[in-house]
Amino acid sequence: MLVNPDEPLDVQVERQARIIDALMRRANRQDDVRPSAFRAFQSAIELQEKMQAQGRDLARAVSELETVRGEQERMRKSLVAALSSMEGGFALFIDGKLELCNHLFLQLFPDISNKIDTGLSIGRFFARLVSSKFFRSADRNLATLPSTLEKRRDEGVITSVMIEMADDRWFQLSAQHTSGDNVVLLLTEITDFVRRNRSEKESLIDRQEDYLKAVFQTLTSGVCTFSSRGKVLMHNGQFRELLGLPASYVAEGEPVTALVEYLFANGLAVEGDAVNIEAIYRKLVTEGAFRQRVRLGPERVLELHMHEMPDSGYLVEVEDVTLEARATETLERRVMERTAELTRANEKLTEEYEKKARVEEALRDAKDKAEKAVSSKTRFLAAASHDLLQPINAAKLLISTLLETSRGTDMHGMVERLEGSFRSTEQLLHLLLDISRLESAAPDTVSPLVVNLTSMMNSIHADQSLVAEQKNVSLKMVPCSVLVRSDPVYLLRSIQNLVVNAIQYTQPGGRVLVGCRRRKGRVVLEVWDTGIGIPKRDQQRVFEEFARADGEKLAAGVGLGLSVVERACRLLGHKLSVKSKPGVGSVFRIELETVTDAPAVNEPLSLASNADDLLENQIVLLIENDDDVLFGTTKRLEQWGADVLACRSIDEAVTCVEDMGMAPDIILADYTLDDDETGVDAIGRVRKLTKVHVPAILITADRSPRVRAAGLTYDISVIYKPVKLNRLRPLMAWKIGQQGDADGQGDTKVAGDSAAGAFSVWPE
Amino acid sequence: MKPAPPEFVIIGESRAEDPAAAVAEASEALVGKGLCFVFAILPGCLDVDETSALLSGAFQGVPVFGCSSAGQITTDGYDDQALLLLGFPRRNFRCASMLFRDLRPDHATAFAAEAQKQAERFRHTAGWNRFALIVADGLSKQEDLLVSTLDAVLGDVPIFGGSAGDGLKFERTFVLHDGEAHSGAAVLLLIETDLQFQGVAFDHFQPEGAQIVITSADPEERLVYEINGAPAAEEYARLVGCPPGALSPEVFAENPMMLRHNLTHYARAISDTKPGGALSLLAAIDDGLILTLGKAKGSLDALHEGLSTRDAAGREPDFILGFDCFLRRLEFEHKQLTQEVSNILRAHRVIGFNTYGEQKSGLHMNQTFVGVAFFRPEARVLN
Repeated sequence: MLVNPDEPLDVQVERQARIIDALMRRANRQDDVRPSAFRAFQSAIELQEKMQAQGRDLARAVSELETVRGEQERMRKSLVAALSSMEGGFALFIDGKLELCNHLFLQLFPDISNKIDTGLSIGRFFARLVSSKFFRSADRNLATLPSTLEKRRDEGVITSVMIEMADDRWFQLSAQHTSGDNVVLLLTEITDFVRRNRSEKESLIDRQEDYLKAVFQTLTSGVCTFSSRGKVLMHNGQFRELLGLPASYVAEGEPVTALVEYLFANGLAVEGDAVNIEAIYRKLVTEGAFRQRVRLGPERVLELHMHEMPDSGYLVEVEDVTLEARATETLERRVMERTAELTRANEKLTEEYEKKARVEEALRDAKDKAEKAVSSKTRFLAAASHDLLQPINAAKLLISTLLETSRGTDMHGMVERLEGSFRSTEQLLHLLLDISRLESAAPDTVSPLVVNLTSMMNSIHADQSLVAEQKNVSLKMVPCSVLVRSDPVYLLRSIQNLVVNAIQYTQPGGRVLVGCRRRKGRVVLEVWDTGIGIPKRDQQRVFEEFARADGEKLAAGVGLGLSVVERACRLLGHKLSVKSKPGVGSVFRIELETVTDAPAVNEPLSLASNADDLLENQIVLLIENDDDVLFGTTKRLEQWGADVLACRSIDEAVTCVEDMGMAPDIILADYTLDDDETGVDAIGRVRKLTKVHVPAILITADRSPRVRAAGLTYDISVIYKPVKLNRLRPLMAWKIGQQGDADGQGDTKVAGDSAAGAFSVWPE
Repeated sequence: MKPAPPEFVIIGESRAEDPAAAVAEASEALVGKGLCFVFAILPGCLDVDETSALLSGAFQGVPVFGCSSAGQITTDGYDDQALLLLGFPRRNFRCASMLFRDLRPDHATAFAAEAQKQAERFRHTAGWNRFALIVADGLSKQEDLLVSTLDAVLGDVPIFGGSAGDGLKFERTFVLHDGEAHSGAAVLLLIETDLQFQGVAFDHFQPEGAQIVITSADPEERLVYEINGAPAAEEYARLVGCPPGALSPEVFAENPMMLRHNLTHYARAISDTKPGGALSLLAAIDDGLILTLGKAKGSLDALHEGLSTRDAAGREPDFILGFDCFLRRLEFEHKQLTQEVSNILRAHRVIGFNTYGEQKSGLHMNQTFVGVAFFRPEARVLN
């Protein structure tokens, strides 16, 4: 109820009328346009509400225009926000007029900030910046910057200017034409960067300078640099000290000429040419460096090095080389002294060498002479022995015949003694011959072959048992079946000599034992005796010529035996040793190399003890150019019952055989015949003539291999002079017996058919 | 517990009775702080001329604006004897001021033209935000026309403000400009700030009472002679259930008349009764209007909710500059809620004064709280 119902009705009606009236008035006033407070309020409300409604409509309606506007607005807000948040200053010019300039830009130039308003042209803008008292400098003219920008407007490049501001602040101003006629200026603070850069550079330069100075000062050599105009730039203390320069001469800017003059005035001396600064400098320029040794005062030696510097100044380095120079001099002097000494020593040595060479020459001559002497002696000895053996051989044959003939007569005893003395003579001659041959040391003196030690020992036993028997010494031989490599002749002679020696030095009733001991790959032949023994001090001496046991009578031997053994063993490479105890006995040992698989030389193992019958009625062709020997031998052979055809030459032998008309049973031929004929030739002629391979024995004093080889070739046994008859007879009987066996088999006897025949050696 | 002082405004307060002492005490915190301008809120107890003269010399050329008030919102909450000085630092604020003397309806167009010119000359700073503060003589009865005109010419610039008060005396109100106090005048401040800000406006009345029709009024003088065809005061007293002789500001405060426009209700506050049974109002009025009596509801909740504004990043305001109708305060006092309201105001860092009317975006209103909440600047991140 609008109207108070408590009021009287007429009042109520009146009030209602008033209400109606007021409402009517208000309704009528809606179009009133006069300003009034309520209308202002009302219109404000309406406006607001309209705007709110419009806003809602707009929000709802997706109008393209509004979207674009919103975008633009957002962009602008973003731009404004971005600009405000930028660290640097920003200014935007549109159509050459300032459109936007952020607060920071203005803050940097507070004194002109009120002069920078929107609409300011670029040119004026820069002019005002430059006029600011906070502006210091820029690395390009800001006044021309607008025109530069104009020129570059289409290139889209950024023009940068570095600006120095008050309080050492630095900025980079970047200007760029953006789209259309817009120009954007960006002001970025680079103070920190500039300062850091600067301080780094400064500290680097400072450090380098300090470093250089320190290096300069600590150099042991003096250093001074000069400008290209020859002015002193920098030097170290050592430079002054070395040259003894007053400080004023090396003050910066002092001329080098004054310095040099001072030095010359104070004892600087240059070896060689006088110093010409210009010349040195030219040399320096062309070669880049210069070096000169100078003397300063009487003692000091300095070395100057000059180097060109990059700025065509130069650096002089002074080094004190006094000690070095002195040392060099001393060294040179010493070298000269030493050289002289060496030269002298060399001369002396040369002299001595020549002397020595002369001595050597003399020695060589002496040796040649001695060798010649030895050689001629050996030849003489050999010839003498041979010549001596011939008559002895003949005498022996005669004596043996005489001995047979004189048996039972008064002369028999005398003949026996004659025979004994001849035997001694012959023995002595053989030894001499052996020694001379061994001494000549010809390479073919010994020829090692495979030798059967057993047969050799047996033959020695057979030879010596008689002598031992006579002296009442028991000789025992323990045969050993072993093959050794040695020279058969000299090995036999060596063993024989040892046995003879043993028998000789053993008292009657004593014993001599010959045996072998097998060692690994060798065999040791031992000759034991119970003789007088050899004192220790004489044990090496026993092998020397003419050495004999004390108190031994000369007649018992001439002491050549052991000497032969020693020489032979040395040549054959057999080890010879002796072990002895005076009063007890001695043992001599020869160590030999054994042969395991070589065929043993076929030789007569045993001799027929009774061969006499075999020689009965056998025809013996004897060829001997020496009449005495021919006669003696013929007589001996006839005594043995043989028919002897004694011939003096090959022709005689041929004649005899032709006359006889048949081949002889055996040929005995001397090797050396007259007219350079040999026994071998003779035997060959007879065998050829008779067409029978007649057994033959060559008798010779020539012990050269040549003869032995011939014997081997033609199946001829060789026996050496002087012939021991008791050896000759069994050999002949054996040879004839062999031939008989061959005949019995009905085999033909042709020359050369027994080329494979045994080579046998028959010592005396 | 008192929260930490705001960061972006420097506050000086004094309850001294002597103007010189009060100015000295209150200005102490502000001197030499690099301020853009000082906004002074004068209590009714201080002599306005003397105080404003003292203030003008207190800050070495920093301009002082301000007004007399019907009460102050200090850092402790409601007060009515405090001289309150708000120093706006130069770092965050730029300002241009205009004094509109001799407020009259036929001058409004000239004021608007001048404001427009000023606004165009006031240079924009990139990234800063712009708003306008207006303080007008609270007894001039010209605020409606003035703010609606200004709002029309300032376009996007939001306007906030309050009408100067005179305690509860309704004798003379002043606005301060350059050290001078003016009556019948208004001061417009164009302000740019790098701070974020949000407008705040709320009340706690619901149009739940009886509807009335104004049958006789003087719009120029905001006088209502008759309501429902009966003498206004008598009829109003009858409708609110109050003996006609007992009408008081407290009664007016709790029983505003609300003008509906479309869906929104605007409070029309009554300041006084006039001889002859007329009611004097604090906002524009006209005869033939249908009003509704309003009822207060959930006043504390509304206050708390209205102040709990946040910026885009969800942060609380650094401070809220508040224009609070003096009738609200009367209502709170009458309901013995002063302390609680003070606590809420303090907690939300509200500073400001009690007005004879509040302005927001071209509207002059009564019995509302209008405020500007300031937030610290957004981090400078390019987006």
